[in-house]
Amino acid sequence: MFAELYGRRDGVSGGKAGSMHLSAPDVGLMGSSAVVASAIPHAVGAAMALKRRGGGRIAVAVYGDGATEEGVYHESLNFASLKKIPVLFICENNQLAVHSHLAERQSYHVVEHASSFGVPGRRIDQGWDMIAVREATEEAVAHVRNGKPYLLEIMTARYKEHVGIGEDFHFQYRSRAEIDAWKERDPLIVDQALVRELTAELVREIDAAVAHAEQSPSPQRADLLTDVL
Amino acid sequence: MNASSSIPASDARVVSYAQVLLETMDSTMAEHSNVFLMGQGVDDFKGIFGSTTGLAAKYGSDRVFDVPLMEEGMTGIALGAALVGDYPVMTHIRADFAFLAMNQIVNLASKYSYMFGGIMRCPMLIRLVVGRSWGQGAQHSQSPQATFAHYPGLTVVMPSSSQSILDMYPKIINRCPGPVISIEHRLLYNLDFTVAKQSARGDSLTSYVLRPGRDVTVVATSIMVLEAMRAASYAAERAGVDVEVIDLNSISHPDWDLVFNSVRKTGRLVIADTSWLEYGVAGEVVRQIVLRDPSVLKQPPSMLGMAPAPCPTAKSLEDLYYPSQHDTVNGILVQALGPDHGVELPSEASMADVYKRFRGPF
Repeated sequence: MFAELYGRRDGVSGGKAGSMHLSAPDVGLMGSSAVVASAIPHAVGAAMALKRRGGGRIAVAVYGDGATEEGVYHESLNFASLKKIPVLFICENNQLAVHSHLAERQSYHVVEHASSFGVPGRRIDQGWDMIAVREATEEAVAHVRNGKPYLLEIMTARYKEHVGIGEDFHFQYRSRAEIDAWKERDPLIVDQALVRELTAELVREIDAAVAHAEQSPSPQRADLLTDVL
Repeated sequence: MNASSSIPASDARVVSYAQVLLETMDSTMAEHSNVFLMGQGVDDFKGIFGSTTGLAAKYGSDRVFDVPLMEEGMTGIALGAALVGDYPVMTHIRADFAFLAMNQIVNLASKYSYMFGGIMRCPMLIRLVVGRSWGQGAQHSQSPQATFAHYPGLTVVMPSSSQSILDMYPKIINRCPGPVISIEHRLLYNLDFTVAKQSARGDSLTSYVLRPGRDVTVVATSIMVLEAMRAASYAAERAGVDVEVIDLNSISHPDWDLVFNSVRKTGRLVIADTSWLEYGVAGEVVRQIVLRDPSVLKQPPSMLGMAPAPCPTAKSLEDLYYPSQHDTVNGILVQALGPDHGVELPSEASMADVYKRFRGPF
């Protein structure tokens, strides 16, 4: 993955995907799109194909709150409900689309809106709570395996700026206090013992991936026109 | 005026474009269990002008199904199904509605192979029907081959006959690695063509010479191939002009060497396309020739296409909007004999009327 982020030949997509189009088909991550909401119907289509084949596999669409404003999201909910497609919709709601607040963008509530299509769901307010998210997801998956779509809205927060590693509170479009309230409950901040326990191994893994990326060659002219069709 | 003269009678049959579409949909679905067919009206009593009739009953509603009015969502659903190994065939009863799916076609499907370094594939066939004849108007008549062929990653074809369908679709469906857009002209659907059981063409997914000739090259697409063939016969009978007609057939991947070699031989070029000339197929044909050797053109080429306006609905305006047989013949004669050729031109005002009266076989 780091080799891909570095734009190197050993990256998962040979340096042509970068950070915006990561994928891992071997574990079922079938791509990611930088055009908001555009991969939501892909999960519906994949789930439709899996259903026809039998075997109980499902597909999951993961997107942000901004994606629910796009037309294709509404089309996808309708179709998934209409055809009883085993797809799980997961909306991560950080209440921001780039720099625009939820209240300036949406006249509906995500779970309520999906229910108008006959897609049941629930909202998890405590998005910082990994255990709660896991349990809710297991329940949701069980529902989907019974042959119907389901929606999870998981509330979350964006600590950093849109695209980048800096903070952007000085632009005053949002308050530091809101984010601090999340940080006070974030186990990766609050539970320092857990962080210490996990850090060493994770750092080793990341360092190895970065070292591998830095040693990987850059793609060359011969790679420019491969895989166009 | 057809290519069937070389087909032994025992090996030939006459079949309509719509019927061949139906047969091809049927045979590819029978051959490949991962092929499914979706689009507005694919399972209704009209069956996309007869090209899908009865298939829902035969293959079931899991494999042949109607969709809500959701062009983008439907294309995304096709893409998702393709990513896990299914082969979608999608229909739009008017090509204009594919513009609602431009995001999925252009931003996603065309790029999935390249953008993921070859580890994602979304092979699919999108069938677009171009509307024609009076009343279709501005939003039911567009022919978007140049639009789609502009984007790397898309394969765009325009089958001009039953033979082209038979030659191409079985090689496309479940075999081409990426998304293919086929633009089918509504006027062709009800026409009968003589076809061979075995095609004589090598690479059926590119351009071919339909009629060899020495004096003028006509490069044509879709229904304009038929117009070019009729005009070629007229020019031969009335003026002894020997026309070579090339069916471009593939818009994204034409055989440019074939086109160039023809123009090098004749030195005179007519381009007859079903869309606007501006930034379109006509310009691309000239670009390809000029890049190879501009001196092969003895004079500026003639070009036939839609008038540079949205399509009007009034029949009187529509007849002026599309090139008529009069215009096509004149283009050929201007090339062969000059602007003062003095040859009487056909008086036919409306191309659409001709194909409604005479349905072949071509």
